Amino acid sequence: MIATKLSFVLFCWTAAFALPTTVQVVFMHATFVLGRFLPLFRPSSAQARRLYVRFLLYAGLLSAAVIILNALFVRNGEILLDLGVVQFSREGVEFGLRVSVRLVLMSTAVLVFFLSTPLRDLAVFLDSAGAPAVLTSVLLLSLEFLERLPQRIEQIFTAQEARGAPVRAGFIGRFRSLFSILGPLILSSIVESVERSHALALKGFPAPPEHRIRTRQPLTIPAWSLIAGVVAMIGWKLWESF
Amino acid sequence: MPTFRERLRLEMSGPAIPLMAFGVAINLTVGQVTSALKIPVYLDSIGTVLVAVLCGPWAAALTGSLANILASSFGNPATMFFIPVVVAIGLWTAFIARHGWFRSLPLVVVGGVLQGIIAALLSAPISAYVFGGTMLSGTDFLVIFFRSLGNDVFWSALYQGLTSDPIDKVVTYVIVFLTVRRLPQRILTRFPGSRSLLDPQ
Amino acid sequence: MIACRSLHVAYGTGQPDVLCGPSFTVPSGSICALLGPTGAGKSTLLHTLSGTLGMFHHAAQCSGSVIVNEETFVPVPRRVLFPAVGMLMQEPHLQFSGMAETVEGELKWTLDNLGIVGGAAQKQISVALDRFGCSALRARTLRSLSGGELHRIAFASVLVARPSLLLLDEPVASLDQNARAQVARLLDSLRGEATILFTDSDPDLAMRLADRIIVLDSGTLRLDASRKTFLDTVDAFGDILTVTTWPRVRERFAASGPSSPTARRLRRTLGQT
Repeated sequence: MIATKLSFVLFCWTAAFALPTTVQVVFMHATFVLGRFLPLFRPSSAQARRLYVRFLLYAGLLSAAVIILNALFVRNGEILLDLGVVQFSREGVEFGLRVSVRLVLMSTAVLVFFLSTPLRDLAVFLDSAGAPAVLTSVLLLSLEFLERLPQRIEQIFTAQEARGAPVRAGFIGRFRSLFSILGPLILSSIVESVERSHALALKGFPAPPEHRIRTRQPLTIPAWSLIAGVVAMIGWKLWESF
Repeated sequence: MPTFRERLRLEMSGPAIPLMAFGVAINLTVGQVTSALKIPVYLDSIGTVLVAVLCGPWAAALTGSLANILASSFGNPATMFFIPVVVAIGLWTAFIARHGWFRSLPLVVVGGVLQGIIAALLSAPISAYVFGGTMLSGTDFLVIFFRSLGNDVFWSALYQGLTSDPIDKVVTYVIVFLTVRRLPQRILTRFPGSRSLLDPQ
Repeated sequence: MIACRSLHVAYGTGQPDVLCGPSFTVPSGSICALLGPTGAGKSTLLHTLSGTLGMFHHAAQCSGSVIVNEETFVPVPRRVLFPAVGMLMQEPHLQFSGMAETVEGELKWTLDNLGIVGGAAQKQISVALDRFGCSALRARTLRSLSGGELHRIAFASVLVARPSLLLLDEPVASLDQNARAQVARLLDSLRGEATILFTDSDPDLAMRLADRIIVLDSGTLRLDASRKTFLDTVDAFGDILTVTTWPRVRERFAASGPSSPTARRLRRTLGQT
C-alpha cells in the first residue's frame, strides 16, 4: 500500500510539471477526494482530518493571495479589471492560477500520503525495501526525540528564568537568553548522542547485512499503472519539447 | 585515501546517528524557543549546521532533508520544496568547517553571511516559481515591497531572502560555534568533524 | 572470565591517565563488585572491557592488556564485544534503542541484530521477561512504563541476548530498598550463568553479593580481594566509600560467638560455611 501511495505522489508531482493546468485541476480535485477518505487509512484519524482541513484552508488562502498579488504586480498584457489605483492583469491571473494549482496539487498529494501513513510504518517499509539502516534509524530516533525535546526545552527555559535570564525583558535581554537556552539544549543533546551510540553499539547496531531481513512486497497493479503514467507524461513532455 | 563510501560510512557512524536525529528534532522544535522569546529569527537549520560541523556534509544534508520531510508530514507539505536549500546549507557549512572556519568567530560570521546569500539564491526560484512569491508568512511584506518597486517576482523573492537569510544564518552559526567550543575534548573527539575544530598543534 | 594487566587509559595525548595500571582477574561465573568514588575510573573500565572505548575513542591512549572470555586484546578491544558482553548503563532511558515502541519490540530489536527471529526470538523474549517478572508488560509501550519498570526492561533488553559477561554501571543507584533487593536476587540467580562485574560507590550490594571486591581510587587499584578481606580492612576506605555501618558489623561479628545468629548470618553473607 505504501509503495502505491508513493507512486501516487510521484504521479501528481510529474503531472504538476508535465500536464496543462486544466488537467492538473482534475488531479487536484482527485487528491481532495482522496483526502476525504483519510479515516479509512489510520485509526487515529481525528488529528489527521483536522490537519487536512487546516491545510485546505491554508491552500485556499495561499492560492487567493498568489493570484491576487501576481494579478496586481504583473503589468504585461491585457488588463482584466481597472480600479484606477490598482489594475489586475490577465497574465498575472494566469501565472497565479498556474502556480497555485501546481502548488496545491503537489502539496495535497504529499499531505494525503503522510496523513494516511504512520511514520513508523514508513520506516519499516523503507527498511524492507533496502533503504540504508542510517536512514530508517535516524527517522525512528527523530520521532522519539521529537516527543521529548519540547519538555526538555520547557525545563531549560524555566531553569534559566529561575537563574535570572532575562527571558521576558527587552529585545537585547531576550536575544541573550536565546544563547542561554539553546546552549544547554544543544550540549545535552550532543552528550546524549554519545551515550546513546554506546547503547546502540552494545546491542549490536548496526546489524551485519546478513542479519537484516528484507521482505520486499511486489508492486501492485495500481502502483505499476501510476508509474507507467509517470513515464508516459515524461515521454510526452520530451516529445513536445523536441 | 579512503573511498567515498568509506568516508560516508565514517561520517554516519557512532554518535552521528543519534546526533542526526537530535538535529532533525532541534530543527523542528527550535521555533518553540524563538516564539517564546519573541525573537524574529527562524533558526530552523541549527540542527543541520550542528551536524555539519561535528559529522560532515552528507550527514548534515540527510538531517536537513529529513527535518523538512517530517515537517511536511506534520501538516506543512510546503517545506518539502526547500530540501535543495537545506542540503546546500549542510554542504556549505561542512565545507567551511573542514577548512577551520569554526575555530574563529569572525570567520564564523563571514561564513554565516555567505550561507545566507547562498540560501537566498537557492530559495528565490522556489519561492518565485513554486509559490508565486508568497507563502502567507511575515516575509511576504518584504516581497510585496520589492515588487511594488517594479521588480519581478524572482528578484523580489531574492531581495527578501538577502535581507533576512544572512541574519538568521549568522545567529545560527554563532550559537553553534559558541556551544561546540564548550564541549569537553573527550566528547568532541568522538565526532568525525572534530579534527577541524581543534586548534592545530 | 575477565582480566586486566597493567591497564593504562587516557582520553587523549597529554591527558592524565584515567586508569593507572590496575591488574585483576574475575573468574568465570563469579560476581565481582568494582567500588570507588565518582571519578575513580569505574565507568571507564567498564567501557574498556565492553569495547566501546576502543571502538569510539580514537584519540584514547591505552597500554597494557585485557582478556575477555579467553580472548586477549593488546592493549584494549577495538570493537564492541556483542553479544558476548552485555552492558547495563547508568541511565535506563538511554539504554533503549529508540526504534521500538513496545517492550516486545525493544527486545526483538536486539535479537534482530543477532539474526534471531520468529519462534526462537519469541521464546528468548519470554524467558527474559519472565526472569524479571515483566511478562505482563510485554505489549506495553515504553513511554507508559514507570521508572522501576523501565529499569527492569532495560536490564531484560541486555539479558535477552544471553551475554556471558555482564557489566553493570551502578545498577542500583536510583532504586529504593525493595528494588535494590530485587536486583540483588536477580544477580544472585545469574551466578554461574554469566560473569558479572558491577560498579557502585556504596559497598552494601557488594557485601550482599560479590565473590570478589575491587576498590578503585583515581584509577589506581587499592584492593582486589574477597568480601571477608574487604570487611577486615573496611576502615581504610572510609575516605572514598560510605562504610559507616560496616566497621560496626565487623565488631559485632568479632564479638559474637561462632554459632550465634549474627555470626551465622554474616558468614552466609560473606559466603563462608
